[in-house]
Amino acid sequence: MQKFILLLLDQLSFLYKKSDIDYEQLRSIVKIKFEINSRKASGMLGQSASGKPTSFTFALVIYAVFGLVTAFVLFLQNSALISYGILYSYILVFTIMVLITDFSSVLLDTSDNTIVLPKPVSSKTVFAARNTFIIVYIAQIVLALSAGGIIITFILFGGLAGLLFLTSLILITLLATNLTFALYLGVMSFTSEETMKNAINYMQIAMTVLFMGSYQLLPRLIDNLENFTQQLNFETWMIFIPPFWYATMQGLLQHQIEIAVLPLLSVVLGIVMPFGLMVGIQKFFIPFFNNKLQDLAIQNKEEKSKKTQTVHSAFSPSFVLKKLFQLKPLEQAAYVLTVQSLKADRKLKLRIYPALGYIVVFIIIIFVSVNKNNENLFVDLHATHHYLWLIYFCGFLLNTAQFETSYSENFKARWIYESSVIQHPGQLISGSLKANQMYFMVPAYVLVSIGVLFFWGPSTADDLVLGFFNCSLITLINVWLNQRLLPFSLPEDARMSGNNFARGLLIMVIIAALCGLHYLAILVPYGVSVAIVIFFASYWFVLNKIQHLGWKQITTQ
Amino acid sequence: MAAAIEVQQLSKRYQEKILHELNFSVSEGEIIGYIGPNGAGKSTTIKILTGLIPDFEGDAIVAGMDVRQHAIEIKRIIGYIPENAALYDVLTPLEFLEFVGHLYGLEKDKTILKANELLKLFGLETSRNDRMNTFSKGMRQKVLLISGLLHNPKIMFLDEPLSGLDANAVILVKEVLQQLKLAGKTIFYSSHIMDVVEKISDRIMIINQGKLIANGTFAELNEQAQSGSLEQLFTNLTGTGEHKEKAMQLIDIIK
Repeated sequence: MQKFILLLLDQLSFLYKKSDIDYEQLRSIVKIKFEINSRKASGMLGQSASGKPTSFTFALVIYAVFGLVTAFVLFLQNSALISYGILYSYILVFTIMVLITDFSSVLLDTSDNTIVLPKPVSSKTVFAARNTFIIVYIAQIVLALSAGGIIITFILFGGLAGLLFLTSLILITLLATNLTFALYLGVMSFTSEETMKNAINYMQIAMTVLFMGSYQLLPRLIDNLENFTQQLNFETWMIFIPPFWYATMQGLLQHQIEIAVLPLLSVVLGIVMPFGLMVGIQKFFIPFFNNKLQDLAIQNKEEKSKKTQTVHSAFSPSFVLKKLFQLKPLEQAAYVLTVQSLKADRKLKLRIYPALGYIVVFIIIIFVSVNKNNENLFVDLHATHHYLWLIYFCGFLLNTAQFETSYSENFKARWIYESSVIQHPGQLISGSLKANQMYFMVPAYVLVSIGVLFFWGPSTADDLVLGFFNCSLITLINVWLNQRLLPFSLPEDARMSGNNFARGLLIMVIIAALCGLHYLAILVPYGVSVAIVIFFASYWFVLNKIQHLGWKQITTQ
Repeated sequence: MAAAIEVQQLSKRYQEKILHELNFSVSEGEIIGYIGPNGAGKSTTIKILTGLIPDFEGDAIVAGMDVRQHAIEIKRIIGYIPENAALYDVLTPLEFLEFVGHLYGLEKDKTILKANELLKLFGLETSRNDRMNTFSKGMRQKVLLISGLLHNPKIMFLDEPLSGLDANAVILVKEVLQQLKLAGKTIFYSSHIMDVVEKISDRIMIINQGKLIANGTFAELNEQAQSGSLEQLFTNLTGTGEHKEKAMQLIDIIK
């Protein structure tokens, strides 16, 4: 693949030479960038199930599969406007997200400047090399995403539509690239690098959720699409949604839209906007951008001192919580450590926060699956006990957080546990557990509770109380039986090794058991109230057990 | 002897002024130690001289060429070792060096031959095909040093070349610098401590808060220090002085 691309590039070398660029240097920079990229884990699919970084080629295959699934909307032949609108939206959003996540390292990368610029290479050549690499990289991704769409279009709608698709793709890619660029430059002009990195971090999280969510949702949504695609006319709102600019072109080509001012305007926008953005960026932003990058490198030092200050503030609210949770001194230490890490460690966030996003996806799935055959959604939902799913999903969330906070890049710092006088290391575990409860489960549970009370009415209040203890109990039991891991004590890459399947099975069994008991309690009069007492007692019992774990009972991998 | 480096009224400001009207010149074949505390402006000076920071006030001339107009030509004949060990660390040393050789337009076979020899000399031959993200700071520093030597530069700029190196490597680097000097190279290196390298420097320049405050041989500077004008700074840089007092305070605190 790499060789093929370089060979292709060689054919274009005259273009570079014409514009005063040292092609030999450019070629070796691009080559080395590909080499580096192939060795890095790609951001979104950073870790495969085996724990090894996924290769870029593998990521491309995955993109192609998803693109193909999405492209099935094209089979709904009655409305090119809607089906292409959906496909183009998917490609555009996906491309932007890949750009933001995978490319944060390239766009924000000052290593080119520090490594290559001291060598006798003109900045023009470096810039051209960087752009060439970016273009080839994006082209690969966009082609993978739209391969299915291209093939289907050529088969179903013929050569002209296919060519239009390809042209639209180029424009969409240009639009995506420039939008991302503008986004970056915009954010960078107003904030520091630290904020920028945080923003990218959240974007990566959103990306993971979108990726997993679309995997769950798309097949379900496609069933429901038939009603939606009855829409044939161009609506005014479409002019504000870029993918519809290009869908309009297909609609016009297939004579499904009448020629009018608005559709024509959107065609014009679709052609003009990508180039307009590009010119705007190059004229106003690029010179500013390179200076800004240099400034960032200097700013960095000042910022670090600020950062430590904010982390210290985690101490104050925890005094209140100390009373609330009855934190023992050792628990307090683990609690504060966990809270600080949850706030500051981007990698940790990237591992935990997507689980929060899944709740949203999950809620949608429930609604969609109920809605399938019936118009009267809320009445139907009201009669079910589907809210139990939502409640117990929070238990799953806490378990994920507890599991992930046992792993860290700086796992070697666990020497501090081992070298200090700790009789009951179990308190370290319970301390971090309480932190995770406070920071993940409680907010999520409050949200879920509001939703449940709203849709199912106040009669579910007792279920919510019981659910809260049960959700905590799920993780407690799992910790007690299986993962007695000290916080941040194990290397990240050990996460995926070993008895993955068994571990997943165990947690499922625990959740199913507690959820099942809850369901039974609902069926018995006063059952829930009695269950609250029982499970609250069990909660304290297991917590107490964990707090008294000795060194020999701690799991070390 | 011709001047290898000539600096006149050199100033640079970001938000505040970092360099204040520096004036100095370095003859061909000299080893200059550029000493100053952290944040004094050492790296900025070096970056200007190597053509990395094009906007500055005053004049800077390297090897007879104006830095502003002939940055590329200057880069071709100088070697620059940055301080932060910046290299592509998913590559192996050999791959990285081959890449660097390419940028200088060196022949591939020759580069690899040279790189191999140099890696061996620095004790890296066993890890020449390992990715550098597993390397210690000292090992990276050695690779950087090699990458700055591959094209046989006339003038070397080294930014904190000894940081992170182990005791043996420090001795080796000092020896290398000495030999480079004998081969007629000009060497300009920076450091924040008046470390052992003081002895191999022909001349030492001390910079503090962007101002050049001393310029002379170690003996000359030492003399000035005795007479009092430089005393405070000199003690800080040479690392003698208050430290004993601090250590005694520590005992009081931990009681």
